[in-house]
Amino acid sequence: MNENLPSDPLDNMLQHWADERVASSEHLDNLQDRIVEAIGDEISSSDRTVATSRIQVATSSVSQPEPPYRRRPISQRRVSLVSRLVGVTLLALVTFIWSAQIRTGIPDYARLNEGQLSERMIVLSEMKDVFGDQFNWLAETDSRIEVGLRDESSTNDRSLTPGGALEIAVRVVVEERSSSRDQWRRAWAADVISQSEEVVELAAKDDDQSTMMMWAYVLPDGMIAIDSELSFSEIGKAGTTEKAAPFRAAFSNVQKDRQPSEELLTGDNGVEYRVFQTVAVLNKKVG
Amino acid sequence: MVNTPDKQLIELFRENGRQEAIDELMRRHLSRVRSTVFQMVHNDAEADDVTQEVFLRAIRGVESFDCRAEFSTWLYRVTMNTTYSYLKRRSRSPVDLRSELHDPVTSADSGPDRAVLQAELSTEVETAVASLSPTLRGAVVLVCLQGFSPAEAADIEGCSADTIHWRIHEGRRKLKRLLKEHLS
Repeated sequence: MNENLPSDPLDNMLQHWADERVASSEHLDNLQDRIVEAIGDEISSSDRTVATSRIQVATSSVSQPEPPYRRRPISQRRVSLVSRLVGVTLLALVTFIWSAQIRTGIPDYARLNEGQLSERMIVLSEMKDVFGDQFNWLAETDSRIEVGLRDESSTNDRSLTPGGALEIAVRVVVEERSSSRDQWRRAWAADVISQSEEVVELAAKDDDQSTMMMWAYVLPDGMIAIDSELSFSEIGKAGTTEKAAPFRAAFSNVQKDRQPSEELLTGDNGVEYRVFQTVAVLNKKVG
Repeated sequence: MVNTPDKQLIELFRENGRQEAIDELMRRHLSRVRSTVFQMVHNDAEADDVTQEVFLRAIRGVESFDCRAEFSTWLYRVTMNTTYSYLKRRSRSPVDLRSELHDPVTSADSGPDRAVLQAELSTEVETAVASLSPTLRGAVVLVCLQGFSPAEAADIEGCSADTIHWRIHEGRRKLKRLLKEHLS
């Protein structure tokens, strides 16, 4: 454990808050009783399951006695009716699942396809030609393109990274709708090219207050840990003439390469928002 | 049982199903697991539910625990994973964060003005911590509040120590910005 934390005012403030919110010993005793009971229930139910399956195994190996009554023969017509009903129910279930998938599906514009990734690799190569080791990130939103450069003094550190840094393409899309009956509408989107473990902080819109912050890190197994924060002074309200509202979202995830993910579904004042994010490693090493 | 090491208690439970071994492990770790969860979710009832889920998951997964590893690291890995899953589920249902926050507790021996100020400050600290993304919050909670070293936190979170350093740095930078009027 770390016993040598710097004692600065922030640490003191956090520690004071944590101490104040500690559960009482009575609360913890009650919680322990509750958990012990839940564990007991779980253990006894798993014992019952094992016992039941043992009984089933035992009875299946013993010849069944003849029932004291004769089963009535089931008519062919009834069998046919039942199988039709089962068929209709299954069809309805499949249709429901399919339509539910369509309703919650990820839109094409939230994905990064092979063609778009090839284009990004070309852009990345051109940026490196122009800015060399100073190139840090490139972001394109609906209304602007921003390039992030690092200080010349820090470029030497980066060049010492073993194997060089991995480059990552990220697409973030915000959709909105004014009621659950409406279609989702694309409200904002950004494409970012960055290096692994670089903090990207950009103006998300043409005002001084809207920002996007992003940081991604490629894990040894190829998954990508990514933290993102969006903070907009306002975002348009779908299908309404009301004044646009502020929007703030923060999300963290470990994502699969090139697989879009729905990060957030939230609502504010009758308007629903959802955020998609796709991340892809551009210079993935083979083998 | 009081002096039996964690790993030996696990073996007692695995081999003989001894409930008292689990009771002892819980007695040792419940308070810290519960406070870790609370510092992540900021709601007493939810912290209790998630803590219960942590111990149930730990019991279910105890067979997979490798006795060469540290039990506490494994248990806190279960704790953080369960909490992140819970936060992800919660983020899908819109909530008003402020209504989720704990009612401030005031100290009986402090005067009324001081108590009100302290309560306000605690609420602001809680709001600031809640505004961090779960992974930044996780790093701050594990290292700054629970006293794990960055290397231990990295082991718990399954990432590099550099990542934990960055998350702490970024989390603290944001907290300082949000709480700057109280820090000056």
